[in-house]
Formats: sequence, structure tokens, C-alpha cells
Amino acid sequence: MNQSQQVERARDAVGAYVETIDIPQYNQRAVRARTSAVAPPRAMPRWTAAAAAAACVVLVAFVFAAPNVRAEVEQMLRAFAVIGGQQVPVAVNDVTLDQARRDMPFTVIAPAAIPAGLSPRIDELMPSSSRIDSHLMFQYDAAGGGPGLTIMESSARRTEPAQMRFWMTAGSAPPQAPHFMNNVPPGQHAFVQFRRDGSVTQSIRVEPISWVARGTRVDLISPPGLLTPMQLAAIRRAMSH
Amino acid sequence: MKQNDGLVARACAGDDAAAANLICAVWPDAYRIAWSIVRNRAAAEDAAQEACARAWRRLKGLRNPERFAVWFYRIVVNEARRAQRSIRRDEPVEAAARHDEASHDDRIAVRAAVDALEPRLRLPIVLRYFYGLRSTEIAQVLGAPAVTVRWWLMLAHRRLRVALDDPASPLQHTAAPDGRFKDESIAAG
Repeated sequence: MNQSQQVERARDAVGAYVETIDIPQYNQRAVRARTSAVAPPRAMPRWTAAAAAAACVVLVAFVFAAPNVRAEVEQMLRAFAVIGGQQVPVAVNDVTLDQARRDMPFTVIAPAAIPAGLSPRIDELMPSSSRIDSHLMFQYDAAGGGPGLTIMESSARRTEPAQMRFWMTAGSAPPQAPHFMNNVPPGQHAFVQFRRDGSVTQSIRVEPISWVARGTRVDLISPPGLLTPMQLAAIRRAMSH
Repeated sequence: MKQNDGLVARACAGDDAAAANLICAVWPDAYRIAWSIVRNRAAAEDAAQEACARAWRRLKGLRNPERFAVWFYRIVVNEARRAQRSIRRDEPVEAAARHDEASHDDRIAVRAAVDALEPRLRLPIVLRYFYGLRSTEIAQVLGAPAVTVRWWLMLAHRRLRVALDDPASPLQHTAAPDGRFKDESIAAG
């Protein structure tokens, strides 16, 4: 039996199956009534609830603000994750998109509709104790060395997203996670601090735009004023399929 | 669904009579899809009605009327999945079908082969062969990656082939430890 015959047989089988479904009479009155009824409140999707409740992404940037050390800063990224209340070190690997697709335990969605002229650095963030909590981070530099567009991807199967902390420095690598960020205000998802010589020079609060596509949770983190709402919407739309 | 293109265009333009006729025309599709998921007559009817009502409410101003079918099926699938979650776990699924006098052994066998498929394989193949959707459209309806849909279709094809060639063979489906689907009947062959 060739392939087209097999397809035809499958089509016949499906047709036979569907034809036997006994369809009740259409009740226009009932449907009409539902159109005018107020839709019942629905439980917030699990991932949305988790995103709203948890401080899911915390960015802590320790940089010396001068733009000319930016390249050096990029090489000194350290990350820590808080998983189940425990702080664990996170391996950071600079990878290509293809490599990330092989490594990540979720479907990697390539960034799309990014404004022209920006190219990302791609980092895999892999907690030592929990591969499912791995994140993929696309970082785009902003002009002047300030915080740029960041896109985080992680598995949407996680009911409670891990809190991630990043530490970028132009000096020596930090020995441990910054402990002063433990009290992240409720509902505040991302926080960027700039420090020079131990004192805070700039703090930026960022509300990520989060969604789930193909089982992957995407957090779009754009400092205020960096991109227009239309640009952000275009990115979200392009990365939602 | 193509035959409804005119109705869809008018309904999206705000013609309420066209919307009423359109919803009436797609009711069988809504029920079949819902039933394929929930396998419970009352729940399927409830889900199909709710999906029709939701679609009716949102028809006016639909941006891509040419994609009405995929959009509508997606609503139905969502409603059916919601209904499925609310069905008690111990409630038995209903038998596949009505058996009319014209039924004979072969017909029953092919029906049973589709009916025996796991739900995640059954609905894609119904959407493919009864509704003529492409795998990318099925992916949009089910909210799954297209590559996964193609995998499901391939598995469904294999299962149907095995079942139709040897109706006595049991279709045993188990989940492998890594969460991937393991097809014992294929592995054995």
C-alpha cells in the first residue's frame, strides 16, 4: 500500500469516526443568552499568577558607569538563582543561538522585530542544581553603556519561576550573590542598580512584559524610554508564534 | 468552512443576522471538536455553546476574517479544555458513537481505530483530515509547535495503520520516563 493509499485510508477512518458523533440540535436561544451574559471570572493562568506573584527576575548590575569599560564589563557577568528559597550558583555560558537550542530544556524562541542595529549577546544561565530552571538571556546594549533591552526565556512548566540575580562588574568577580536585594518589594519584577565604588549611582525599576509561547516563558525587560510601546508590542507579537 | 466566507465577511462587518447564521452553520464543527476532547455529551455541548457565544461576541471587528476557521477552532479547543478540567476524574468517557443500521464490521473497525487514539493524537488527525487544516494551522488551533503537531500526525498515522491492518492488535500507549511518548505497538514491530 503506497503512501497516498494510506492517507486515503486514514481520511476514510477519520470521516467514519466524525460522522458517528451524534450532534445535538443547535440551540440558538441558549447561545444568544450566553452572548449577553457576563463572562464568568476565570482563574488566572498558572504562569500568569506565578509571574505576578513572584519577583521572577531581578537584575543587579554593578557597573562602573563609564561607557569605555562596557566591553570589559560584559566579560564579568555572574549570576545566582534563588530556587526553593536556596541561593545556588548559576553557570553562565556565552553561546550561539544554535547551541542554546541544543542545550535549553525548553523551546528557544529567537528574538524578532528587534530594532535595527542591535545584536545580542546570548548567555545560557544554568543553575547547578536544577536544569529545568535554566534561563536563556539575550542582552542588547543601549547607547552610552546604560541598561539595554534584555529578553529572558525559561520553561513555562515551572509553576514558580526562579528568581535570578545578575552581577556585572568591571573589577574582580563577586564571591557571592548580593545579599542586599533580598527584600524585593512585592510585584516588582526587575531591578537594575548601578554602583560606583560601592555606592549606588542609579536605580532603575523595570516592569517586564511576560508571556508564554510554545511552552516557553518570555520576559521582555526594557528600561523606561528605551523602546516605544509600539516597538515592544511588535517584539511580543513576533515572538508569540 | 470555505462555504461560509461570505457569512464571515458580513458578520465581521457587523451584520448581526449573518453572525447568527454563521454561528448556526459552525455549530456542528464546534460540537465535534469539543466532543473529541471531552468525550462527554453534556460537557461538549456546554463547551460548544460557550465557544459559539464567545465567537459571536468577538466576531464584529475580527481583523483577519479569512482566518476565521482557525480562530474559531482555537476558541472551541480552549473552551473544551476548560470543560474537561471541570469534569470529575472518575466520570467515564462515553462510547464513541451512535450505531445506525448501516454500520457494519469494517465501518466499526475504522471508527474504533480512531476512537482508540489518545486524545492528543485524535484531535490533530481529525483537524487534518476532516477539516483539512495544515499542520501550521493545527498548531495554532492547539497552541502547540508545528513540529510537535507533525510528530503527532505521524504517530496517529502509524497507529491507524497498525490498527487497520490488524484490528485485533491492542494499541498500548505509555509514557516513557523522560515524558516522551513511547509507542509499544511500533516498538514491538
